[in-house]
Amino acid sequence: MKQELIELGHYVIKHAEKLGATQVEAYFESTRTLEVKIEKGLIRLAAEKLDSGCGMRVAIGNQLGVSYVTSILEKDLEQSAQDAVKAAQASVADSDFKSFTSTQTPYPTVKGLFDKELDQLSCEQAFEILTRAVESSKEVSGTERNLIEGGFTAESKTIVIVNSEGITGNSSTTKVKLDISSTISTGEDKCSSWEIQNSRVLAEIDPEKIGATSAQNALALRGAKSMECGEMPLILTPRALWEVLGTGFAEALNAREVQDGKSYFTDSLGSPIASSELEIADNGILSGALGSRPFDAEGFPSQNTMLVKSGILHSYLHDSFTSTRDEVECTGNATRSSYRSIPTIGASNLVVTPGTCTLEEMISEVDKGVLCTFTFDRPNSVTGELSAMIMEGFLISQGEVQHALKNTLFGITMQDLLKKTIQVGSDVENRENIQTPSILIESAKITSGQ
Amino acid sequence: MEDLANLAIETGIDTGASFVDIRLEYTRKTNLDVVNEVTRNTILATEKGAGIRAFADGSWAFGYTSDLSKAGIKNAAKSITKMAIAASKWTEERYEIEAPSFQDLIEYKGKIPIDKTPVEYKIDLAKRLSKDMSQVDPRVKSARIVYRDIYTELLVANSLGTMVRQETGRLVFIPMCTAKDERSTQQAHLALGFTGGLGDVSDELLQMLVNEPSRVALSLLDSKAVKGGVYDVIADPPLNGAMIHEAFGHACEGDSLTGGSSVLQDRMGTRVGPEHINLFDDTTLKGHLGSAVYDWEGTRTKRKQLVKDGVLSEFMHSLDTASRLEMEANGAARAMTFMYPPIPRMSNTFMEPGDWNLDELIEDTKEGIIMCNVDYGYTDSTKGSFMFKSVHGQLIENGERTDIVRDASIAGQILDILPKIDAICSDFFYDAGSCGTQGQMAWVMSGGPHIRLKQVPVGGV
Repeated sequence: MKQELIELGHYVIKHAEKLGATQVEAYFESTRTLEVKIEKGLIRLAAEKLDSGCGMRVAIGNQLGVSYVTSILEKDLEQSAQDAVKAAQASVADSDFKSFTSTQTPYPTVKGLFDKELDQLSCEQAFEILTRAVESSKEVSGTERNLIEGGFTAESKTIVIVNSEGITGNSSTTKVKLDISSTISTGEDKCSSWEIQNSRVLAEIDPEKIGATSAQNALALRGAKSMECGEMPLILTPRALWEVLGTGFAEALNAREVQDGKSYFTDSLGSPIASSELEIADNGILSGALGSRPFDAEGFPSQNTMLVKSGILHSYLHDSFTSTRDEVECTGNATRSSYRSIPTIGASNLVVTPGTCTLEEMISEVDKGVLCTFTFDRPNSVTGELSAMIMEGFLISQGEVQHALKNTLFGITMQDLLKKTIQVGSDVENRENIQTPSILIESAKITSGQ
Repeated sequence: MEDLANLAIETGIDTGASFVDIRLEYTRKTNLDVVNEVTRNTILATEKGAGIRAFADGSWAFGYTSDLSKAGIKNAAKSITKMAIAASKWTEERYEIEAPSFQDLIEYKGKIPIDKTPVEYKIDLAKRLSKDMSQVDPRVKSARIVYRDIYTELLVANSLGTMVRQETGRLVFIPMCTAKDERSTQQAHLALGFTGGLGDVSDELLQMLVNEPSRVALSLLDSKAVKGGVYDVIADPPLNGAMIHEAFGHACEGDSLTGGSSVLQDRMGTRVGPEHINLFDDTTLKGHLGSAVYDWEGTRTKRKQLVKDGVLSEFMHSLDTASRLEMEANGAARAMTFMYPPIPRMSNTFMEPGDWNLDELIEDTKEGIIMCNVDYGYTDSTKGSFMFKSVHGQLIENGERTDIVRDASIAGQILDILPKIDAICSDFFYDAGSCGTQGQMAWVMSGGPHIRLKQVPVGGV
């Protein structure tokens, strides 16, 4: 497949150049996805998706055009090249554009990104894994009514990127995801929670653990009450910090947003932005990690970039456009979720360095505060203000977890959240491309109502 | 195309499926992003292929192919059906898909049709809007216009005899304004969408695309972050619409009921809110973004009244959920593209206006907050909880508007929130949004009048 796509890439470049393009980039994906969904603990839908397509970017001088097509047939690629050229002709010249990636640095070898077993997985194997997860959730909930939903996705993907500036990159990767949610009813009390596991390798998937954890998380939420409002310490567990950092932090370091003055980290390079406890990196070459890849979405080599060390901001996340504009080295952070989307800037693997204390130690030090185990919220990326509903959380009193919370929110700015982090846990967990530990924040505003 | 559809259906049935359907799609998309009159990403895209589903003994399988040769379609139909049969060994619920069939041809009509209008014309329009927004005030630093159009030819056919060809044209404008002064930087946006052509968008609406985001962004320069607490909240039409969509609409989607997870389970025909509340999802409205004559399973669409006089009265169904719950399929199935299986979705969702005048309502609210527009929102229909973050707002003190505030969020439980609505205004506004469920994005409209909610927790910083 790789060789066929590389040849098609060169064909596309020639064709677009004939139509008037001065530079061309062709990004191909060929993906097999096996997806199984469960509902009420039973298999509901099985899907096998074979998706091959191409996203193109062309330049005529510094006018840029983009196209994509859900096919890799020659005649469809020709039409798509024509679309991209047409789009470029109609566009306004972008003075920030100099060239598509042209680096000659060889791509790093990143281990553990492809698993043969996953590549050849059958739907029966997926059914079996899900059934094991369901059984272990049921074991935890016992005789209580437990509605189990979830899914299993296995993906095997080949990426080829070719451009007119001499770039040729190819990679084959696999990915697997298991997610289980358990909704457990005891009388009027209905509690729901979930757990997710992502990996590059099938053997790492632990359906028993994921099923059981989702049910244990749900049971812990029984008897939820509201609480007194006020300023108090807040602990975010790895699952809670996953969402807050994954969206709210990475987006603020996006150099394009920074250059546009639309990030709360504008003009912060070299300044203290976090407590000295925090160390955060963007590591695109971490062995076996979900966000690892040998090259980014523009064909630039992946690297490990220190973002925050001893509380100081060391780098933003750059693609070829923003690094040219800022006259800095590219960090290889162009990402695209598929050939159907345009390259944007995003983290590869966002990695928070673990600290030394355990979650239990953190809880024991809080006289009155909140333990948040999940929120779905993200901060305002311009101001950094975060007002988050505690989807799953607990009141802590005198160093012990008291009861689950309902209708409760926490409010803090991201600037304060980072600066007021007084402890970092040793309990790092991986979800998708984010690695987070628990953190203890000195104080946040808690609002709670009936 | 009809012969390919028939081939997929015959192959699936011969392989052992009891129901088979196919969507053959050809879509052309234009995405523009113009910032301060400069184009950022001009995208012209083509999506084409076939999505096939097979049903056997209570189990579904889905797959798609962009190989539209006879052999490609036949192979796909066969392997998808085999997968459904394999899956059926792992399920216990047995039922059959039963529904009326439809045969029709719906042609796209639009003034200045999107599929025949060159991209230059669309870029000029976006540049003009961006220029007008820049010129509103020197504090406008970024005037961004996101424009999208989607022209689709869709053929839906199934083994019950449905064969519907439908052409649609949708367009969406999302203007965004960033204003900056020595104190702060603030952003605001608006989203409006239509079915039809570029010539069907009125000058008045084009003017609104320029004025509304700039007015809000500039007003936010004087804003304070809201203080968290329990308030009487007046929600504006976009926030009201989003709340109905998130907090209530999702729980009325057939698959959250068949999954047993909806908080509205077993509540059909029961009271869920005060008598003055009427909620609708109406796919048949002319020219609206969520409108269509047929859904993505080829079922004729309908106006659905979700809540009638405070009583839960209708759900939104696909063929699957209607068959399982022994209700009538009402044309609510949508798929993002042929690459996804259709699922029950909302289209144009709204609350019927009441009789309060907004100024009188503010005067009647001694201490409270007006919350406007939606930054984002989400819901957990299992727990019944939801959360929305508004873009801007204003405090009410002694019945009068006072400080401008930003980033207020509202959280609650679905079944608690409707009873808290004590006043519904007579005004009405709709806005566009994209809703994501199960990995599928869908363009929708939501709206309603201004409403007041008594004593709800509002989160601030």
